[in-house]
Amino acid sequence: MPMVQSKNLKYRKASAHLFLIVFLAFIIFPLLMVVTISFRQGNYSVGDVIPTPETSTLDHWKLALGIPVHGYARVSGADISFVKTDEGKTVLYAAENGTDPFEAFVTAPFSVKDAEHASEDQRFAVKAASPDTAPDSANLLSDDETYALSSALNGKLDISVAKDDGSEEHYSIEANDRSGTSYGLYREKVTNPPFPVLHWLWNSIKVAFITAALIICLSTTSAYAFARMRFKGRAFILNSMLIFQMFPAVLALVAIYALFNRIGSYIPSLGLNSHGGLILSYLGGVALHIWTIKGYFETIDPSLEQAAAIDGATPWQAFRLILLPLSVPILAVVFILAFISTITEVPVASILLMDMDKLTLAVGAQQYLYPQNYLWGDFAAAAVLSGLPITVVFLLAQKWLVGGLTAGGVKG
Amino acid sequence: MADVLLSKVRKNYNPATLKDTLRNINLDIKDGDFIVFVGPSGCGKSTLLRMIAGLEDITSGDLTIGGKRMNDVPPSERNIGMVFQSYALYPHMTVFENMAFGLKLKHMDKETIRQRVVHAADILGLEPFLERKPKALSGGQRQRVAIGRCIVQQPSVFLFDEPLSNLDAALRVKMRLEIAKLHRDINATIIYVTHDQVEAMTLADKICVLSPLKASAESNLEQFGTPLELYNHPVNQFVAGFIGSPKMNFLNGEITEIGDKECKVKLTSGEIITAKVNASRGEVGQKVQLGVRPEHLVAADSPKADGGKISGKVIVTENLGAEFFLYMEAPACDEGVDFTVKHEFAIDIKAGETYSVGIPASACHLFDAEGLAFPRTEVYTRG
Repeated sequence: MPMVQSKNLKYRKASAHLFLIVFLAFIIFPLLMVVTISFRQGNYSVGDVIPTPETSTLDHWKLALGIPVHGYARVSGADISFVKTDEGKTVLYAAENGTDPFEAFVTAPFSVKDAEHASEDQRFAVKAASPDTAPDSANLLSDDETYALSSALNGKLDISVAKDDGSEEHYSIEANDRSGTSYGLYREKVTNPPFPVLHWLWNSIKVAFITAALIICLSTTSAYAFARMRFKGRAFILNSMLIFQMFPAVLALVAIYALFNRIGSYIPSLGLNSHGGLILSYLGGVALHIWTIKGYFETIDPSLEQAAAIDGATPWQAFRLILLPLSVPILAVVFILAFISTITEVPVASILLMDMDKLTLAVGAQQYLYPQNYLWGDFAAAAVLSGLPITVVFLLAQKWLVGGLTAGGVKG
Repeated sequence: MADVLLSKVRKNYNPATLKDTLRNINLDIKDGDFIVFVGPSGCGKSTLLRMIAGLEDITSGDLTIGGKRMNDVPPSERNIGMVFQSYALYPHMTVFENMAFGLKLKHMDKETIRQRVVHAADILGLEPFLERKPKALSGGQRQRVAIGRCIVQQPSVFLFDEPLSNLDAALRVKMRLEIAKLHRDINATIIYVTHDQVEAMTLADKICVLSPLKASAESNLEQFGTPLELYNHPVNQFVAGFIGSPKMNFLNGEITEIGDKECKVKLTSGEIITAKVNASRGEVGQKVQLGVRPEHLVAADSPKADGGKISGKVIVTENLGAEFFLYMEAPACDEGVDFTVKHEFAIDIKAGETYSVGIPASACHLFDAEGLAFPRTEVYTRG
């Protein structure tokens, strides 16, 4: 610390640090919350903030990434009982208890010891078939023994029952959660991903990337005109751009819908329910970027372009070879801003896009939240996923964000 | 190499008003000349240069370079090179790329480009820096890169827009000499803009003095001539006051006697001064201003003081060792203007005392009420 400071200032500095830390924690908390929810079992928005291995699952992420989830659902209509055979093996009877239609079965005899050693991913396979007879009540295990055996076999058995139509059903004895208490018969259930989340992500990236690139093209050229040329109405156009930008696009949703409906009847690829139309509507938000880039251009000495003109450069060459390379930091900023605002944009995209496979992630992720069933866990995974491209673009662009590139060109 | 000819050139930035920036500029610049445009701020000297470069359009009048009318020709086709006040180096390119930029745009082959750049770098002593970016260069080196960027283009006219004004004093002297050497070596037509009259006097073959345009004036080109012509025979009071440092002293008076080769002037303070000036177009009793340069003043008792002497109250003295300045209040000067004396010898005098100074008759300039000079019949030489 080069400057001597009074004690008073040190306290103030400490409290400023404290404030900043609290503030940062406050801001980061929602993000951590969403990440936590995406790993939490079940689709609950409330629960432990810090996930534990017992209560965590990758199911939401699997669904988001398009991988089917294998789960076990309790068969409430089944009672299980174990019978010891003479060879020291065990047979499991699953009988209907009347609350739910269920086809009873009996397993082939299996060794409890072998089953106990099975691992989570390599369960102990047991064949089963429809029972010919009822279990021999003499060899039936008592309730306590059944309970102990069920605990020991929790999640270790893979009972396959051949059906008449040739398909197989898989059952297991499991708890309803990892630390659970309620044992019973569970039937394997395959949950297919309900929505094409990765496809939505690709749509988002595609639309955002093309939009950001086009915004750069449009705004640099217009900013060049506003910064370097003097023409009638220049100040008026600049000011009106700024003022019209202040009205949120949501106010114009009806107009946007009608407009693109009409455009689509002439050029379908720019109409409703097309990414072309969405990109076209996003290009309207170029005014702020023009102002930003114009401000930067005005800090660059015009004599650089005049020197280039004397060197034989056309205005386009002077712009592309001299001005643009010097403006890379601001172009990176504008690209990132345009990219982020496009990725996160909902209202216009939700109006213009209709087909399930055309949606962007920001719009599509809301499909998880319908009033009858808020799938918070699946939603959280998709939400975190939508932050991914933004992070990647930011990390890539960071290289170009260095300032001071124009230093040394002019003055002594 | 080419002549540059300007005839009746006028510049008006805002056609809605009649306020011209430049009016009726006629210049005939010969091939190989080193021309300096000099004048106070706002006189349009940079504008004139930029008009020759093609960075500003010409409102009316003609510009010909090498016999070809250039009014509507873009800068790149005028075969000129320009060094900007701010150097305008391309910050993202190395020194080599900076110099090669124009040649690359002309699609020259790589070997020719390399040869030309290396040759220019050799002239300017830039070879060790070719791979550096401008950021890593000192002010003087950047200046030379800017000049090198012109040289590689082999233009017929070099334009310099106040190239030394961003350098410190020592470096400025050094670069001034280098520019003079460069002119000798490449022998190109050079047009150079500066507000520093030392640069103008030392570098120029011919100086063009411009003044801020007055509404009624016919032109703001005051005088175009060699440095000594301007020093010894300024055509008007503006040039006389602008060329020379410290400024020429002006004393108010009226003509009392008109002779063949000299005339007598009675100052408002009463002294009568003889001036070696042909005042035959004037008349007795006419109000005039007598001009005398501070460095031409002599001691009151010197035999050279044949023009007369004036006296006044000393305000400040400055002793620089090699020279001695004395500022005094002379009643014949305009209100608030000090009368400056420059001697090569020191005088033991304090502020508040009265001092008399001698004026050689041949050192006097005489200007009429419009500021136009009467022709001098003799030129004063020191020593």
